[in-house]
Amino acid sequence: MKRSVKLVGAAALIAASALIVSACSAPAQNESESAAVESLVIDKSFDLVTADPARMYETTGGIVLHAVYDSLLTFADGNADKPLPSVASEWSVNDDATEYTFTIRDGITFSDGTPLTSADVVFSLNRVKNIQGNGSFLMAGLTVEAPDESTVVVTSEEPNTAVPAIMTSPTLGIVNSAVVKKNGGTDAADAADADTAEEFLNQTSAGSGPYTIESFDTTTETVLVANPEYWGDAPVYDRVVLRNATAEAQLMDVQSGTAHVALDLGSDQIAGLGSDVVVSTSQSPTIFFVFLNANPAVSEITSSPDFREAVKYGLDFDGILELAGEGAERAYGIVPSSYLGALGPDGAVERDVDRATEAASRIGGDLTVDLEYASDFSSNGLSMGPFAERIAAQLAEVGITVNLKPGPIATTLESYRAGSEQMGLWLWNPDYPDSADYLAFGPGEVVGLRAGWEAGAAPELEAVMAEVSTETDAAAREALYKQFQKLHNEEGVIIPLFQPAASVVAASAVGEVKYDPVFSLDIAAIGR
Amino acid sequence: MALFIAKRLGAAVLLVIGTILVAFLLTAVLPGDAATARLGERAAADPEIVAAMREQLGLDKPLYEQFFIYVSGVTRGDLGDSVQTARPVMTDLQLFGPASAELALAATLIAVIIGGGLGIVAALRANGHLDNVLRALSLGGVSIPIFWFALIATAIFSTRLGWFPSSGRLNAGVVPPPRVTGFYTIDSLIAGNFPLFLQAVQHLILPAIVLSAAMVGLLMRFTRASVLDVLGQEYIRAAEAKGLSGRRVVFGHVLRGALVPVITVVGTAFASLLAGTVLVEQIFAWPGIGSYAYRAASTLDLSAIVGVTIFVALIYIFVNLVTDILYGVIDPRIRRA
Amino acid sequence: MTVTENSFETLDPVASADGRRWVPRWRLPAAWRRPLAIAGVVIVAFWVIVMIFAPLLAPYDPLAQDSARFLPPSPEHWFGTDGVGRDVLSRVIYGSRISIPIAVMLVLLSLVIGATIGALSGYFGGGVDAVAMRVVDLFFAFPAIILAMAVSAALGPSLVNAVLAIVVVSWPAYARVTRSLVIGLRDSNFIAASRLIGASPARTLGRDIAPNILGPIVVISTLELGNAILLLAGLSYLGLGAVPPTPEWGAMVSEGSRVFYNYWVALFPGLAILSIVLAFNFIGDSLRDALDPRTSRAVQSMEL
Repeated sequence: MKRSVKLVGAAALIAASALIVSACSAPAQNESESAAVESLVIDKSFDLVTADPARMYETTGGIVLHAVYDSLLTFADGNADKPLPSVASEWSVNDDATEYTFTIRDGITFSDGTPLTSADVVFSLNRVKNIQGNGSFLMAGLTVEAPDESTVVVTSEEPNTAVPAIMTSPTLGIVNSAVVKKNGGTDAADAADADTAEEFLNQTSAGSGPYTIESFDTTTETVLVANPEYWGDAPVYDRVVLRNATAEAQLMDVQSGTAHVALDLGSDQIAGLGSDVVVSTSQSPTIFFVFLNANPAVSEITSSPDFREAVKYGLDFDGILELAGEGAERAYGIVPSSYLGALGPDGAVERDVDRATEAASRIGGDLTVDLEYASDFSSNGLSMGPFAERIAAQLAEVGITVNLKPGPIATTLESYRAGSEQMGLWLWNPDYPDSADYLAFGPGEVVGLRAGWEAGAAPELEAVMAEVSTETDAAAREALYKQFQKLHNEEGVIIPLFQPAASVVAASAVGEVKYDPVFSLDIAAIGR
Repeated sequence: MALFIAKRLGAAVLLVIGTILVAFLLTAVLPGDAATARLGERAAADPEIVAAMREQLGLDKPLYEQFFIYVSGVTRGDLGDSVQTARPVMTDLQLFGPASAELALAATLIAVIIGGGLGIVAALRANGHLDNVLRALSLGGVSIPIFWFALIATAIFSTRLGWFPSSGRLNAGVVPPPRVTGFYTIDSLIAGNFPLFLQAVQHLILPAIVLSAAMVGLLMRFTRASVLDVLGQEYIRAAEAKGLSGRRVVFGHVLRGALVPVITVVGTAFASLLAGTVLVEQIFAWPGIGSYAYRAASTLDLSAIVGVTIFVALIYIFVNLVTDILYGVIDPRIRRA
Repeated sequence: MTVTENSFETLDPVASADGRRWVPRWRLPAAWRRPLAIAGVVIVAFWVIVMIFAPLLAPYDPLAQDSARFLPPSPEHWFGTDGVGRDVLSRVIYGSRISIPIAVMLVLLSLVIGATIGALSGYFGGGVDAVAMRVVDLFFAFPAIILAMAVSAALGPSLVNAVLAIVVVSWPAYARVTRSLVIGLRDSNFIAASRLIGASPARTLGRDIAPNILGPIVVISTLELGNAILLLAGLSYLGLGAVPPTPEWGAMVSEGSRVFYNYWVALFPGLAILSIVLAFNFIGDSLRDALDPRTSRAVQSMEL
């Protein structure tokens, strides 16, 4: 009995150590695998929810579906100026930008071999519109028809020069209407209740793009395989694994060779990387901004013009920019630097502590405000915390006490959208690459309302906004957008801070992988 | 005995219902809901879309109706759908549960081997210098902040030395073994795929070691105490008097006597282990119940929150039940209490 | 083998001079046999001194963002600087002013609530006991992290709310132990005698039971201090506790983990947490060894 116990103990010990030794030696196999790079592993912090394009409107979802579904138009090579043909081989517009005619390319087939026709386009676009999902706003004010098999006409109620840019969205990706309808999909007016195709599309993709979905999981990893029926140039990598990882994990993964591409690393973290990686840094159109609630019911202090002046001249924009790391740029206006009508450094506000302190003292009383932001949210490797702390420190110097109120994003989003935050630190990603998207920052508009800025609060500014939204001439639009931003800055309710740098880190075996300002990442273009 | 178990089971059912109730009340109190978290900026600004989303998620009904719908679903084994994973919560639990169980069992195994072994050594060298060192070590295991330990361990063993991977259960893109138990280690052995088994073990070691820290400390202490207890008892002295060698005495009699309290300690610590996995799973990207619970709570995924709560509560109840039964078996006085 | 030289000497309570109370006896071992306890006391004393004299000891203002970011440890900044240019050493020093007083408050609150409920439950038994223990079971079964996150989300992250969340999660443990201690005493002779005389429950609890359970309670509380600090740090690590720019150790480790190759940002706050929790555990462990083994059973069974 005793002997057997000893033997068992000894055997267990030997087995355990053998296991550990062999497990330790296994990394060698891992390395040789990555040298051949059979499956490309991309690390991303997931906000994935669905693989149904009509319901999808998230960053990660966009990356996946951009590779699986084709849209009418697209962008490539990091350019966001002029949309390029994709499903549509050419397009034309009428004089007042209310009617767009797209010619559908010949010879496009879906991944199951069936040809793509204008009926599929109409189905897909109408489905987005009627399903009342996250991305349905893209089709607001638009109707779509197919006069024949190879033509699609998109009509807009109001003159809208942004339609081509909108049509590049992966949400408006063209699905195989026959397959989707067979699996419970519909584009009828009651699609919000009647459509049940999401479950099918989460497992099997029905697109015409360079990849199809091998497996879809919103929490661990989603795998794509090359589409043999693809009508365009085949991608370099046959199999792509998109893996859910936090920024810290991405850093470790890229250093250990577990992942080939990391999308969410910030400049602080990149500084700590070794030499066998290739870093590609470019400008992100994301705008970080802070707002001062203009609603006196929310805060008498933040809604006073003196307070806005105190903050405008009390903030040290360079000090904030320092935290954003290398490659970040100050945002001089609410329209990002690569877009039409973006402002430059001329006339930018410089810090004036005396003026700010004086403005603050004019308000009188105890100047204490709450600054709310999401504590668990990060973008381009930057989290809100350090910026909030820096802002609080800067405003303390002019006599304003800022109490920081971070919270998990689900709850802070609620107060943000309800317009009840005294001060908020948030960011905005463009919905589509056109300056028109940024009219959302005006009074009475989406972001304006969150800052308590009701319609009618700034008549001159709103007049400019009304004018530019129907203007079709590019030069006139540029001038109007510049004016819009100048007036917007003068009001000082919403203060743009900076645009971060977007960096993509790739293993040297993969080569440079560029950030895409519209889609975040173009998977099919990696390695070309 | 049967009555004893029946009483315990009855209490268990009450507990589950109570847990669901509390979870529901909690989610009612929370600001925001899954619809908020799900919708983008533009969509959230459109009241029609918000209404459609809330209807889709079943949030438009009054709370008590949601509660009854939920409870009747539970009796059928339907725990609702998770907003975030777009899957039934039951499926999620079946996927994430074994991952945590594998991690917890691995941690327990490590704790038993290291903690138990060192505890015996400490008992044999009681009150000597080695005993003090081991005592400090055992207290250290309980005192170390687990998130800091995980950070240090990963930075050294994963990044610096490259011995172990830093995240996941398998290398990226590797297809898991055909599911039998949900434990990648066991399933890969069953499938006869030895390299896969090694890979699974390689991924398991570091998080299991980190998770086991507190248990090692506890087990070291309890093993030491029970071994000392047993060693002081009459029959050991009798064995010694008979002239049996020291080592034989230890292995033969002491292990048997000391094992039982250790088993019950492992049982109770196991339940709290599941709670401690939240931090470890977050850090090591281990797709288990801990990270599921954290994600559910931070995205206000109501069905997932309640589902995880029930799951953890059931585990706790089960472990307690087993422990109580074991105690009842060992000590008949307890049964009457 | 010198097995007897340990904590398991039996120890009978002795009647006090007026015969009305049992006086628990402690066997306080000679100091030289308890080097860990000494180390623990020294470390705690060190941190208390740091806590009291923080403004004198810290070289910089813990909130000042004046220095360059992520400076490695140097003669100017012994522990380096963090992501917004604050001196890490000063923040670690001031961190003691948060962790220690809050941990003490946490333990006191949980103790008061838990011990009261546990004592009443154990003493009266019956319906009160059944209900109380069901409630305790409920709290034990409910995953702590979800409860903490829910409290945080509902009330907003702050130290006060973190304390609330932790107290809600921690009091059941005290209740259970107190209950078993009281049950152990309830059936003893001198309590029966006290009842015979006609002493009210309040009197019995206060004068007869309380002093006898005080010892184990002190031990548990000391050990729980370490736990409380770990829980607070853990919640702050998840972003649910201390609000920036408060220099709380757990929050500092969280910030440091994003830039772990700048090791100093996470290393030193983590060492601070480890050292003080270890110290409390050293002391508590030694105290536990000195207890009467019969009452110590209840304490031993608590997962400490």
